[in-house]
Amino acid sequence: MRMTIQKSIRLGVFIIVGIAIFAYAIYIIGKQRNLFGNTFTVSGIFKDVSGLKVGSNVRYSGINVGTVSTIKLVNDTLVRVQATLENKVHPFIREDSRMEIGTEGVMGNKVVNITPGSSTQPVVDEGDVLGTIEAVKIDEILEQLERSSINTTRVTKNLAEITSKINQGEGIFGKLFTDTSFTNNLDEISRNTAQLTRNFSTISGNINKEEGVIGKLLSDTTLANEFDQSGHNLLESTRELKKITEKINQGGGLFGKMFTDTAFTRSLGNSAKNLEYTTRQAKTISENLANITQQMESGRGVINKLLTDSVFSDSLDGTLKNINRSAKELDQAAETLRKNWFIRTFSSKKQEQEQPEGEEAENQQENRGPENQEK
Amino acid sequence: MNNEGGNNILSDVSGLAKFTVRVVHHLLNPPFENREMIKQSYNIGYKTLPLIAITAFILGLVLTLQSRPILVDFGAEMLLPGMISVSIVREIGPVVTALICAGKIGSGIGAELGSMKVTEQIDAMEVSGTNPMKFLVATRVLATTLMLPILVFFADAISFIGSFIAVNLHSDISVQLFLTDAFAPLHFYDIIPATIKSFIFGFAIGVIGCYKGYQAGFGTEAVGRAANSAVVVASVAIFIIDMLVVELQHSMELLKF
Repeated sequence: MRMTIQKSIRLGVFIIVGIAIFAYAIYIIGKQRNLFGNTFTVSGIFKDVSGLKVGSNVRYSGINVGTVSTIKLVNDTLVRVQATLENKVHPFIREDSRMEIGTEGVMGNKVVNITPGSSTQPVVDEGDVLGTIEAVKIDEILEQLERSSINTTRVTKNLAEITSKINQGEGIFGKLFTDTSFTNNLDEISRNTAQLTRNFSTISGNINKEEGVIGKLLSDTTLANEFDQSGHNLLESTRELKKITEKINQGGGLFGKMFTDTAFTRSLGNSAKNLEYTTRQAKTISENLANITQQMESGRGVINKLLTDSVFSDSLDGTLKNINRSAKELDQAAETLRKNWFIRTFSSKKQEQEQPEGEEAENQQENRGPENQEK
Repeated sequence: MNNEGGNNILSDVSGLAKFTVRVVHHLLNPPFENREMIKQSYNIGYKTLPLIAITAFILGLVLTLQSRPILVDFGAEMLLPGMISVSIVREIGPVVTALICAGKIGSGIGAELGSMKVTEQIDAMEVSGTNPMKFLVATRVLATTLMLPILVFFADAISFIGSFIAVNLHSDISVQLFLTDAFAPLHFYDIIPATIKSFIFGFAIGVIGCYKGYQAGFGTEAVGRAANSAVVVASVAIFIIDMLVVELQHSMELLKF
């Protein structure tokens, strides 16, 4: 029952300290929850708050500046989040600041981040609604990850199938890797191709070096000139022949009469037939030539010889020369006949004398035609 | 009063209920025995503090050291102060303090009142015109009810010190950072229900101790029995109350208080 002053003081200190501890705890917690001190509120409207709770921290530039005070459904799709912030950050929150729902760490609590606005914008007022940035949802990321992993599985499965097929020697790659005969064929093909290209290169080289017929054709101007010349001569002789036949047809002079009878006509017809034959042969030649060039174009085996055999081209050259020469000779013969033989025999009828000579020249030409063909 | 030793649990409960009503009646109605109340507060609060301090310090230290490995496994060592603070403030502080008080104070009250009852001092007090319910019981119940929360605050604070030391055994953390981390997860719905719980624990310890002492039979062994059953019943009562208050805490948490 006796109470000393000392005991009372001890009890008083005990109680005061105990209550002080309690008060300190309450104050600290209250400070964290912004119960004391000046605050202001801002809000944002979100489609999804992804688990944000009342009391979640609000951060500005990573600093805790307040808490979420209310979360309310505005309508069926929108949620209004109101945050109570310390007054000391009021000057920094501009009207174009944005609210964003983030996470503390990877799996931590949800927090509201307020991004700094531009300094030109006015400071927010009490209760203003800030713009929001929709949060990246872990669910969506996981969903995408799942999708891509399914794809990866498919791809690897296909790869596995392909490689197993290759191992078993299926498909072209499989053959490539396993079938030795296939590889050998490929090898051969490539070797042949190499040969072919080498040949082509030789041919083009020969052409450039003016070897072979084509080379000569393309580069030897004398040959071209000869062709030109022979063509010219042929034209000349046919013109002469035409003159003769015209005269015969007119039946002028003794020989005119002589040759207008049917026997003569028949022989003339024969010679015309022969001429026709000659032209047919010439046509065949040109056709053959066309064939040759075609074959050359399609690259068949014979061409090589044709192109590279200079003997052949030489002989062709010789032939052409012969044609040229014979045409000239024909011309000369016709001239000689007219001047000498016919003048001598039928000096009065110069025009009719030419006829037998023309026949002779004709025959000469006919004989030469098949000769050319044979070559 | 009619049940010797309190063998029957049902009569025990009904007797305790009647006793509680009488205690509350005397607590609310003057005159109040202030001097006796202060004396009891001194004995109950101040004299229990060293015991509570040692227990709380060791508890904070050990709890931190024991929880640390699993948090390190999760790479969440930084959450250690917060975890310890929540478990101490919410549960371990009040319950351990209350259990120690049940052992020390409850048995003390039971033995004191039991011996007074056995030696018929209570009857003598009644004869001399002092209401023993008011003078002996109400003062003790009020003292335990008021002192226990304060002891809990001390216990919490001291176990924080123990926890701080334990955290610093393995890492280096400033007092400021420790306190920030420790208070970070704490809400009012952690502290307020725990404090309410502490008052109820104190009240229960006082009432049960007094009731058991008051119910003591005859002979010296009755005193020991009274003290013993006071501790046992008070300890069980603490756990039952704790279980009920968890619900209160939960509902406060839902209200975001």
